[in-house]
Order: sequence, then C-alpha cells, then structure tokens
Amino acid sequence: MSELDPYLDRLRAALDVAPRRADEICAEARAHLEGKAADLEARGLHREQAAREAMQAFGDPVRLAVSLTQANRRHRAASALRTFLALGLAFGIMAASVAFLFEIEGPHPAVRWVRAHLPFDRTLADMILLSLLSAPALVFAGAVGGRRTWWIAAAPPVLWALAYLIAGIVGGGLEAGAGAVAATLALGGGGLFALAAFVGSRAPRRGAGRTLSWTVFGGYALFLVWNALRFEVRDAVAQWAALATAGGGLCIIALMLYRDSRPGRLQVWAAGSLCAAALSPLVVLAFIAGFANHVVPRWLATWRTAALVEIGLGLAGLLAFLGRRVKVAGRLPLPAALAIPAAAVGLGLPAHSYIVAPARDEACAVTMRQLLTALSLYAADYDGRLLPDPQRPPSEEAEDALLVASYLPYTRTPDLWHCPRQPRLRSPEAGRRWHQSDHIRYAGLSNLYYRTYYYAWPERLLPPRQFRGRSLLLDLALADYHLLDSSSGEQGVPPHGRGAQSYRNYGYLDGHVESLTREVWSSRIEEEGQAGLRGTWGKPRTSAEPARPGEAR
Amino acid sequence: MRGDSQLVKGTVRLLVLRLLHREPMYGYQMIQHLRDRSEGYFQLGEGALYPLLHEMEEEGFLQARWQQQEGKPSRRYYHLTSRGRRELARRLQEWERFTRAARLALEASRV
Repeated sequence: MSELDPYLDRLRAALDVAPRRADEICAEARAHLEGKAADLEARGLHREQAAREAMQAFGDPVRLAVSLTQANRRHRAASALRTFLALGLAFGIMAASVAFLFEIEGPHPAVRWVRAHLPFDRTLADMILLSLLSAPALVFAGAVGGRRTWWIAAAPPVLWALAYLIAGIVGGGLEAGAGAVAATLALGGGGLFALAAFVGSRAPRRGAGRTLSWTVFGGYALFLVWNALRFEVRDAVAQWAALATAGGGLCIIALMLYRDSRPGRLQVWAAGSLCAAALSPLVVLAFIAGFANHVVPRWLATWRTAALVEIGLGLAGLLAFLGRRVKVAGRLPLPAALAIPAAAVGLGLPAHSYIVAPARDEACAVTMRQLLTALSLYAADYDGRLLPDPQRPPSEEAEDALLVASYLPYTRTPDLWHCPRQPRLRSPEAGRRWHQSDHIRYAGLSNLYYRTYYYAWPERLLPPRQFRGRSLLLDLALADYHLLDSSSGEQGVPPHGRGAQSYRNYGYLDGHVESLTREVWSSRIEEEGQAGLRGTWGKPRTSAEPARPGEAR
Repeated sequence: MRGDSQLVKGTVRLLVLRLLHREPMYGYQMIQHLRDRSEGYFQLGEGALYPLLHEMEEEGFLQARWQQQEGKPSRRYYHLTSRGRRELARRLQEWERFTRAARLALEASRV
C-alpha cells in the first residue's frame, strides 16, 4: 500500500535502533496498518481514507519512534556506540598498560619488578593486548546484530584458536602463540568490519558510507602491514589468513543481516563492497607477503586451510544469502568467480613449495659457507680455537651476545647468522641492538654450540683443522627445537620440504656444506661416537686453554 | 466505551500476558481481541501497545516470530516465554490480592 510509505519512512528515520531492528519494526507496523486498512476498507471506507484512519490510530510517527526506541534498549544504536567507546577506552587503557610494561626500554625498577612478577611473558602479553583491543569491537558487533550474530561472528576466530591450540598441544605447543594472536586479530578485524558496515549503513550520503567503509578497511590493512614488519613474518601470515577468513565470513554475515533491506540500499552496498574486498585480495596479498618474506613450505598448510575455510564460509554465506532472493542457479557465476582465484591460490601453494624452497635452501648453504669461513678466520686469530666456554652452555642471552660480539668482526654483519629460509625477524631492535635482540636466539647460536661442542669438540677447544669433516653448523638453528627459546614460540629453521623427506644443511669444519636427512646425519654421528670422538662437553677448562676475548690472556 | 486510562494502564500488562497465555497473537489481533472481549472497554491504541510489546520482549516475557500468511502480509506473532508465564502467575496472584483488598475496602466503607 503506497499510501503508507511516507508514514513508515518517517517512522524509520526517527528510530534510533540498529538497522535490522528498525527494518523489523517498520515491517511489523506495515503489516498492522495494512491489516487495519483492509478491515476498514471492507466496512465500506475508501482505500485512501482507510489508510489514513489506520495511520491516525498509530499516532504521530516521531512520537511512536521515540517510544519504540526507548522500548528497544538493547538495540539502540547510540547505546551500542557508547558501550563500544566506553569499552574501547577501558580496554585500550588496560592494553596500553600491558604494552607499557613490556615495550618500554630501560624501565623504572618498579616496572621491572612488576614485569618480573607478572604471570605471563611477552608473547602472552601480546595476545592479551590484542584480545583486549578486539573485545570492544566484538561486543559492538553483538550489540548491532543481536546475540545470534555475536555467536556467528565469534565462531570463525574461536574455531581458529581452538584449531591452533589443538595443533599446539599435538605439536608440542609450538604454534599456539601465533594461532591465538591470529584469532584475536581476526576478532578485531571482524568487529571492525561489522562497525564499518554499520556506520556505512547509517551514513547520510552514499559516498560518505563508502569512504568510511574503505577507510576502516584500509586502516586495518595498514595495521596488519605494520604487524608484518614488526613481528616475525609467519605470525603476520597467520594474521592475514585469519583476517581473510574471519573478515570474509563476517562480511557475508553482514550481508545476511541486511537481507531484509530493500535492494539498492546503502547498507547492502557497504556490506557487499566489504565482502568483495575481504574475499579475494587479502588472500592474494597474504600470498604475496608470504612469498616476499621467504615463508617456508612448512607454513603453507596454514594457507591452504585458510583458503579452504574462507571458500567454505564465503560460498555457504553467499548461497544462503542469494537463496533468499533468487534461485541459486541464476547466480552461480558469482560463487564460481570467487572460487576460481581461491582455487588458483590453493593450487599455487604446492608449486611454490617445490619451486621456491630449494632455491632458498641453496641460499642458506651459501650463507653457511660464509659463516664457516668467518669462524675459521676467528680460529686462526685465537690459536685455532673457537668459543664458547665449555663450563657453561651458552644458552643465556648474555652469552649469545658475547659469542656473536666476538665473531662479529669476522662475520661483519649479523645477517650472516640468518638463514634465508628461516622466517625473517624484523623486531625494532634488529640491526640496531642486534647483540641483545631475539635475532641471535633465532639464529640458534646456543644450540649451534651446544651440539657443535658435544659432537665436534671431543677435546674441547681444539683447532678446527684437526676435525675435518665433522659437522659444525646445522642450518644455523639446530633440529632440536625444544633447545631453542621455546617460551617465544619459535622453532628455528624448519626442515626443507622435498617430498616426504626433510633435509637440513650441515656445515663442516673444512668449509663444505651438505644437505642431509636427519637419519643420515644421526648415523654419521653414531659412527663418530663409536670411533671415540664423542662428548666431553662440560669438562672443566684448563688453565692452558686460551682466554676468551675480553678476558686476560 | 473507552475505559479509564489510569486503570487500563495498570492492567494492560496483565491482560497481554493472559491473552498470550491462550495462544500466540499479533498486535492487531490483540487489540481486536481485547476490545471485543471487554465489550469495548479496553481500546488499546497501537501507539501504546507496540512499545509495550517490545519492552516485554526486551524483558524476556515475550518472544516474537514472523509467520508467513497465504496472500497476506507476514505477521509478527508474540509467544509467551517461560519467564512470561511465571510473570503472569505472579501478576494474577497480585491481581487477586488487589481486587479482594479493594472489594473489602469498598464494602467496608459502604454506607
């Protein structure tokens, strides 16, 4: 009944509730008005008069909207926004406090004391921080879309987190940290997308809504890029993938939320544009980021999972959405168009692992040869001996720092300690305060010496030339992941992916490098052990041995 | 005949709950029902009924569901929740006490 439209439009405009709720209220009012007008018409009133009387019974639309807005407290947009801002402020302060405790340099003794007594380390602090920051966004998504939306919105990241936690438990807890970070970021991303779609839907002008939506989207993308530069790349990759998954799924949900809207309405456009933005470019961007940063094949499984989850979510959501309006068969090209690039990415991943990874392995071997040369030069200057002090396994950061500081004049750059196949660390300290940074830990220097000493220095600091053929370096970070700094969740250099076998580079004291399976290497070590060349690690140093740099000789 | 607005206002929640206890209804149906059953005494205005229904929905006493109708626009039917049933029992009890007390007071003061 077109006579009712102006009345309902005024009611809709005066309502200050979430868009979906407003649509529902207007639909209910329309049903009532049409029913009453039909009754009046049946009693002999003219159509227009019947509609007018029905509207009069409802009263002034603005007053009615005020009453209805007050009655729908949970759905009030203003209160949702206020809640969002209040929670954002509160959680932001908490997050900033956590960040302050872990990020500042040269902290006050009191801060140091608090940091030492906190029940979590820096990685966990990052996760807490991200959770705190993303929580308000999720709350807002729930406030706008209702309880069911909240559950749907929370499901993808929660599933991500669960999957990672299970993987972490099965795999020794190694991936849990990255997964949780990814999940919390996805939560934040999903909430921001919901926020963008919501604000876009309420913008007075179409252009403003579009600009705002893209601004939020771009802002979050920049945030992730910043993370990619700041944190280790494989974490960033997981974040990208998680964002793509959750963001895409949530945008589909946003579309479904607005399914009651009339076609062409701004909110449909805003949600649709976000959906399109999230579904494919992020996956492609993530792939490029991974490619550019030498992501190892081991992590590509994460990519495949992300792509599959995203495709599944996207297709299911799209079909559900489209099925409400038109026959699915009529719109199949759209899901197909989305599936094709995603499938191409999925197919490209194995190809990437087979083509790119061997090249990186070779690059690692080259680096290793240079390092071997540097160590030989050092040994030549110190009576043919190498560090470290055998009485103390150099597992502490200070020890690492001293070791690398000793070798630095020979290696000239800390980059030499980095295998190109290993995900690159780009912490703020890297390159600036390298000797105190995680850079050294990731290079696996501690393990390097632990193992080297155990297997290759049966008489401790003997000249390397006496041990030609012995294994000295293992991919710069050794196979025994648990010996690395497990608290940071890092794993050292993953093995090479060549079919079912996994290879590692082994550097020898004579300067050559071989790529061997662990089994082959173990058997060689065994042979050496039988030959009586094994393990005197821990034996006290004698006074005849040369002093370390910095010590009186 | 339209009833006293203050009296109606005090009882309308109870009336809605009692009405929906029998069967789920939509807003317009409730208005008609109340008017017909009360011989025109309860003539609820739409402007008052819908905010009330939404408020009761927010409070968890009612739950609404859309139902498609043959050749007619969809209707939003309101159902009584278990919480709503408890509220109805409480309000009925209170109503009994009120009417009894009012009757006693009125009879006692009759000249």
